[in-house]
Amino acid sequence: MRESVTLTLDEKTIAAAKEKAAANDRSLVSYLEQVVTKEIHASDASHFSVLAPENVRESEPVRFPDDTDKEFERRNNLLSAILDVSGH
Amino acid sequence: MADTKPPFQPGQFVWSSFPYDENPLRPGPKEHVAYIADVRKMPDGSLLAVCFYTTSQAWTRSEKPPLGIIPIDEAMATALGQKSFVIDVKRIAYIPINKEFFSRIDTPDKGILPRRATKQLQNAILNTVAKLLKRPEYIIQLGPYRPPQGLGR
Repeated sequence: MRESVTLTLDEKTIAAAKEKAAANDRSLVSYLEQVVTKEIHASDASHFSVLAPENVRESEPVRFPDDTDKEFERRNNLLSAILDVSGH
Repeated sequence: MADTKPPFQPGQFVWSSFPYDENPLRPGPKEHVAYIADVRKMPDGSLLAVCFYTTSQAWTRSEKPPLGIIPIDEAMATALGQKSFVIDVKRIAYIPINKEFFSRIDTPDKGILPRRATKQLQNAILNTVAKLLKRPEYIIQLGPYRPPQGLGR
């Protein structure tokens, strides 16, 4: 069954989606349709976070002056590992 | 956005609008003290905080707390200017460091509580993260920068 879904996206999200669509050689609408369908099938319709243009996976850890090598590595390794476990 | 010096550091406790489950991508309606687990930089130079939830419900029960819950004893809580509370490491928010999520960021203390977690407590928290990695089903990820949800790996 095909249902209609209305999404309201801000300019930043649209710009990022356009970039990702172009990178995948898709039109914006086609790209969004694919992403939304995938998300609905994978989870439930209330979560569209996959549309967010950026997420923590794209970020880099910040090192602080009082971090030892060991502390920085351990914090980064453990908190990065959390990202690799499946979310809800 | 230009690179900015992080206002927060891991181990600090900060007043935040920690997102709620009901609206996981938006600031929560009430201020909560969050534990800053990490600070990360996005490709545009903006900063995000990886935060753990805290709740003022003191852990007074004699039994061991469940996985992910770290009780903060009265002495430490008093040093932080708080009553006893618990850190819930299972509840993680990935949120931008801005006024929307940290409403006190423009104040002199930026909403940071006076004492940072000791290195011992920071280690205990990371030890709990390590244990949680074996039970990922307990982890709840919130905030606009949380990793995509439900897609599995």
